[in-house]
Amino acid sequence: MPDRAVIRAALWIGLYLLLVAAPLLVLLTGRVPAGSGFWWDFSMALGFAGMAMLGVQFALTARFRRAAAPFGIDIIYRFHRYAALVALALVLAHFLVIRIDNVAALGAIDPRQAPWYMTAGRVALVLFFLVVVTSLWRKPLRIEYDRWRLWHALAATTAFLAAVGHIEGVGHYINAPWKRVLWTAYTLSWVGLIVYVRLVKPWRMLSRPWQVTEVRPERGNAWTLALAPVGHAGLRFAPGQFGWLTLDDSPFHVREHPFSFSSAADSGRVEFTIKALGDFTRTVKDVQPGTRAYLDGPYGVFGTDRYPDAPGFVFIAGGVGIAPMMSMLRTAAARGDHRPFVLICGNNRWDDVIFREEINTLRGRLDLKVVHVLADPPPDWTGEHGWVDSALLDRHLPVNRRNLEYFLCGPGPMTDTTQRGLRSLGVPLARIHFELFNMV
Amino acid sequence: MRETWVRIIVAASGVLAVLLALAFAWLQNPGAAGQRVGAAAVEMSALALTGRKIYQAEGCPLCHAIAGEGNPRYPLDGVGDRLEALELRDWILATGAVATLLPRRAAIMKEDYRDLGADEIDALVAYLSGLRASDGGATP
Repeated sequence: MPDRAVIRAALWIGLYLLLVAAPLLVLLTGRVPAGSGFWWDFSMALGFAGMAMLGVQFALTARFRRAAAPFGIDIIYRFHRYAALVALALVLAHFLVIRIDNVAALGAIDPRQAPWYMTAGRVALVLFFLVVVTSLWRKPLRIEYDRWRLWHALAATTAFLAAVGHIEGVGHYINAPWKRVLWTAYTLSWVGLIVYVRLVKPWRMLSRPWQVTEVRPERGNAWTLALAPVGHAGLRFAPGQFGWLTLDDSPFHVREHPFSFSSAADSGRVEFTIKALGDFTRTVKDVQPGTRAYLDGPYGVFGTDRYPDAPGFVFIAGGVGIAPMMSMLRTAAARGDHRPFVLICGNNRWDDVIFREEINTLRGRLDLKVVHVLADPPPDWTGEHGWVDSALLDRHLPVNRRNLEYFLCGPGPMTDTTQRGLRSLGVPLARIHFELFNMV
Repeated sequence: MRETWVRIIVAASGVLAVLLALAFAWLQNPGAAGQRVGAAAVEMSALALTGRKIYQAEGCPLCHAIAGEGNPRYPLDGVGDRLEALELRDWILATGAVATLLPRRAAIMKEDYRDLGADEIDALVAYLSGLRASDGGATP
């Protein structure tokens, strides 16, 4: 990462820590109510800290390009996931400390007897818990992705508002008018973000529609979807980046899915190559040309353009993970990039190798070495088979392997094996790039 | 590597939050970590015992503590020493001079207790009148 990016990253991390700590620091300033016992006050402070972290959660998934740029948006989502666990632990601890230390203060659980603000707190706690559980175990719980997204946004917002109500209702620490105003503004600004992401942004996307111009079948049960802008200039992306695609639906319905661009960056073409793997991707083959589409992007820091001084690149792709690599290779070919490229292409069967023919053609236009690795090779196969491990990498990587930039895109286990293999060959971690797409 | 950094930063945020919470609790309660007033076994009249049941049933511990049980913001230990029966009645129902002394939020909550029967209020007053500092409850 360049130095300026490191500084920018550090600033954003500092801002995050400040936002988490801010409510507690505000509580400690001005006239503070007298102490009410160590555990009581500890519990209350944990509640406020948990709320601060939960508030920032809304900002983390608002896809602010500027904030995401130094890290990559995939890692911001990963951050969102881990931070949710810590925040949930804090608000649970807030409840448990009182539950253990002073159960009488919690009053009746029955909402008909309990004051509304205590019920609001309980509802918030249960909802936060359910939001985390349904996110960590969406697939085992068989919750469809689109439904999950809708539920996630609605439940998280409801939980947050209920928790704000709980704090306002109890109202002890925010007794001073200015503290009340500050706290209310602070919390509601996070909810304002939801309005921005779910209403303002889709509304802006409505005025920038796209149209499907072509649906091309590829090898390996994949399809390439070509899009053209309707009444606007389109978008410029860097090779390796991705966008959130909404097909044949209103952008307000939050039925968007992230896909890597597979077309060359400077070509003016916007294409995605999508393998039929999930509920949505299985329907891509039935999309008709002329279908309306919306696009939020580009996003991502996975790409050769971030390393203009690199002496060469190694791409290691598994299955449809070839899509961003194709974008980078096509772009390099169009730009006349003379640097050496190595493409290690992992697939189950020879017939499944997406872009097999075009990769072969690209060899003539680039200094490109291609290594196909098959898990299930045909009987007459003389090439590589099995895993992309350190032995295989050692056989094919050039001697200056430690100075090259590595891009990995494929199934999780493959990325893990490859990453370990590269590390054992002495490739510095900072030169190994991959995106964590499997978010929920 | 990026994911490791994420874990480190998130964990650091969690630790920072807990440390700040501890600092807050410690600053608010210097030298009194975890101390609490012990409950003393006191002989109670039948009326006061009924009052105690009403006190619990009406959710009074949400805002008040007796012998450390309940919300420690507004302890009632020794309230029997400080207030006469009529004053106690005013404080329970937010009537008389008390109505102007209480924060609005509290007054609204207390107005609900006007639905209680006269005998129930009497029982509550009897229970609270019996809360003496000498019983082991500290006067705040």
